[in-house]
Amino acid sequence: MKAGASVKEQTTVQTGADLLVHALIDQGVDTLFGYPGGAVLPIYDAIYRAKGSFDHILPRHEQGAIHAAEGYARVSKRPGVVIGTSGPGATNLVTGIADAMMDSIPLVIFTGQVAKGVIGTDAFQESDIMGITTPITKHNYQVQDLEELPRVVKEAFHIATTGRPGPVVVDIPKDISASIHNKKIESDFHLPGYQPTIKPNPLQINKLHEALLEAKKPVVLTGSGIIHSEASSELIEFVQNYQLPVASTLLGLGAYPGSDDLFLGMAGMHGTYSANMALYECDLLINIGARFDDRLTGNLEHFAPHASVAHIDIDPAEIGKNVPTAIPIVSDAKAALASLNEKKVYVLDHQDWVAKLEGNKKEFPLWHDQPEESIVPQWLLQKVYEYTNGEAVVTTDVGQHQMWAAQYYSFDRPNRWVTSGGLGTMGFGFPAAIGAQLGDMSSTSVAIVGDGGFQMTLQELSVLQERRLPVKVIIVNNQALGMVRQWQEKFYEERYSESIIDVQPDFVKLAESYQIAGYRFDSQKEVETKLPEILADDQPALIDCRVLQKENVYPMIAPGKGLHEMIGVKR
Amino acid sequence: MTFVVEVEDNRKLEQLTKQLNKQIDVLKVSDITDKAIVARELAMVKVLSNPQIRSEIQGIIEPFRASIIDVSKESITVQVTGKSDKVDALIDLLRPYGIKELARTGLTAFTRGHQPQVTEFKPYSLLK
Ligand SMILES: Cc1ncc(C[n+]2csc(CCOP(=O)(O)OP(=O)(O)O)c2C)c(N)n1
Repeated sequence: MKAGASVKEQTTVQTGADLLVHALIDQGVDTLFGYPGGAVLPIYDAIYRAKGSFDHILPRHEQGAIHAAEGYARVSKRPGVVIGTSGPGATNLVTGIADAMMDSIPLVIFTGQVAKGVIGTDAFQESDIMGITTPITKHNYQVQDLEELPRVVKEAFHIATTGRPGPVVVDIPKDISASIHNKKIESDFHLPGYQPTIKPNPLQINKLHEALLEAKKPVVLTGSGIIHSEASSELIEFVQNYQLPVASTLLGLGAYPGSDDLFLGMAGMHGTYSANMALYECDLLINIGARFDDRLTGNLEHFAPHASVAHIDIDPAEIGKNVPTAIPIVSDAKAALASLNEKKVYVLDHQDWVAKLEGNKKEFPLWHDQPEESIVPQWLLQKVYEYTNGEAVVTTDVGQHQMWAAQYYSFDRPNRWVTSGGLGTMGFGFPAAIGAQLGDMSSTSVAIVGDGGFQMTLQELSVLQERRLPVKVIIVNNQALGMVRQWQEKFYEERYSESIIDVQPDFVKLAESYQIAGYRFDSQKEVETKLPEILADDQPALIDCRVLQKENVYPMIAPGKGLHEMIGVKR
Repeated sequence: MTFVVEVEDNRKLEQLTKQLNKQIDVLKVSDITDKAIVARELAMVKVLSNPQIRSEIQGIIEPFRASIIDVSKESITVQVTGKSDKVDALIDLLRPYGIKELARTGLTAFTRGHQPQVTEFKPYSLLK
C-alpha cells in the first residue's frame, strides 16, 4: 500500500470499513487475525489508516488465522477476531468455524462478500458463506445496509461471548465497506429471542443439594463450561466442601487441579480406569458444563447406569440430549456453583466410595513401556511437564500425541490447555499455539503436534519467524498417522492402509529455513540434556522428537463398548 | 411458522423444540400437538375437464366446500381449504379425471381461544 499525502487526506473520509474499525475499537479489540483479498480491500485500507489500533497477525493460510484466533480466545478469555476475504478466503475459514462451534469458542469472523448487486450471479470469488456457515455458527449475518453495520457488530460480539460462547460470522458486501457515510448511526440492539438463562432455578439447586446428601457414590464431571464461566474457585470450594471425587472431560482439564487427591483424571475413551469406573459405578453424577460427548460416554447403555444425573449447563439443548437427566439446571456454571456453595455443608456418608476410587487410582495408574534409550512418547510428555513446571500453555493437534498430552501433562489451572476436542481438527495445534502465545505473553506456549497434523499448517512457521514468538513446537514424530495406525492395528488386523509415512521433510532444516532453531532428538539422553534449556529460552524453536512408532494410547474403550470395558488398563 | 414434524419419541421432540429455541431470531416455540387448534391447508388442483364432465366435478367438490377458481377449455382449477386429510380425500377423488398440476401450502394452525383444562403433566417440558 502507498503511504504519504493521500493517506492523510483520506482520514477525514468515513467509509463503511471505518465504521467497522471504530466498532471493533469500541469492543476493545486489539488483535486481529486475518488475510486480505479483493472483497476486504476497503476493510484493510481502513485498518491501515487506523494503524496502531490493532496488532494484525497475518498467517500464511486463513485456516492458520482462525485456529490462532481460537487459541487466543481460549487463553485470553476474550473473543478471537478473524477477517477473511470472500470466496476462497471465507471457505478456508470453514474448518475453524466448525471447530469453534463444537468447542464453544467465542469468535467473531468478518468475511468479505462480493458487492450486493452481484450476489447470486456467481461473481468472481463469490461463495454463499451464509448458506455454508449456517449450520456451523452460533449465528451469522450478511450486512444489507451500511446503517446496520454498527449494530450488527455489537450484536455479533454479544452473541459470541455470552451464554454458551461460539462463532458468529458477519458477511460484509464490498460495496457496503466501501461506501461513504457522514451521519451518526445508532448501534443499540435488542435481541428478544436471545436471553440466555444465567441464574439457576433455586428449586433445582435445592434438589441437587438434597440428592447430594443422600448419595453414597457421588462424582463430579467437569467440562469446559466451568472454564468458560471462570468458575474454578467456586468448583474447588464445592468439591472440597463435600469431598467429591472429580473426573474431567478432555476440554475440562484444568478446571479442577490435576494434582489434587480427589481428581481421578480424564474420563472417556482414553480416560483413566479410576475416572471411568467412577462414572460407571456412581449413584449421583453431577455434570457441570460438559455435554456428554460420545468419546466421553462410550456406549450410552453402560454410561452411569445406576446414577441419578444432575446436569448444569447454560445451553438447555445440552440437557437430556444424550443422557436422561433427573436434575436439570440451566445456568452459568459459576452462578450455579455459587448458589450451591451458599447451602449448608454436610458431611457425606461416602468415605468408602472415595477410598475405593483413590485405591483404583493407585492400583491402576497410567502405564507405558520404558526402554533403555529410545524416546517413549508418554515419557516425553512427562518430561515436558517437568521441565515447564506444569506452567506452560499447552496446545495439541489431534491424534495419539493429543491423548498422551491430556494424560501426562497435568493441569492445575484453567486456560492452560488448548486442544481441538469436538471436531478433532488436525492442523489445529500449531496455529493455536501462536494465538495462545499472543493471548498470554507471560507464559510459554508449547505446541505438541504429530508429524502428520503439523504438516497440515506448518506454513505458520512464517509467523514465528516474523514475530519471534517464544512458541515451542514439539513434534511427537512416529512417522505415522499414529491414531489411525493404532485403530488399524487393533480393529483392522494390522492392515496399515495409508497410515505409515516414512517420507518426511527434514524438520530441522525446515525450521532453519524460517530462521527458527531446529533440533532433532533420537534418544532420551538428548531430551534430558537439551530440552530444558530450549523450553526456557525466549526464542521460537522446533524440536523433532523421534519416538517409538508402535506405541499405543491406553487404556482404551473400544468403539461401541461401555465405560467398564476398558482394554489396556494394566501392562 | 407452523411445522408438522414426525418425531420418534419425547426425547427427540424435546431436542427439536430446544434447537429451535436456540436460534437467535426465534422468540417462542410452542408444541400445539395436544392443544385445541384450528388447522388449515390450502390446495389448488388443476384437473383435466371438458364442459361435459365439469358439472360432474362440481358435484364432487361441493361437499368439500371447494370452489372452482379458473376455467379453460381443457381444465378447471379447484381451490380447497381445510385439514390435510380433507385435502387428501378431495385429491384422491379428482385423480381419476387427470390432475395436471397440484400445489399445497402445507398446514398452518392456531390454538383456539378457549383451551379445555389440561390435567396431564407433560414430562418433557422440564426447563425454566
Ligand atoms: C483434518 C483431519 N483429517 C483426518 C483426521 C483423522 N485423523 C485423526 S488422528 C489422525 C492421525 C494423526 O497423525 P499425527 O498427526 O501424526 O499424530 P499421531 O496420532 O501420530 O500422534 C488422523 C489422520 C483428522 N482428525 N483431521
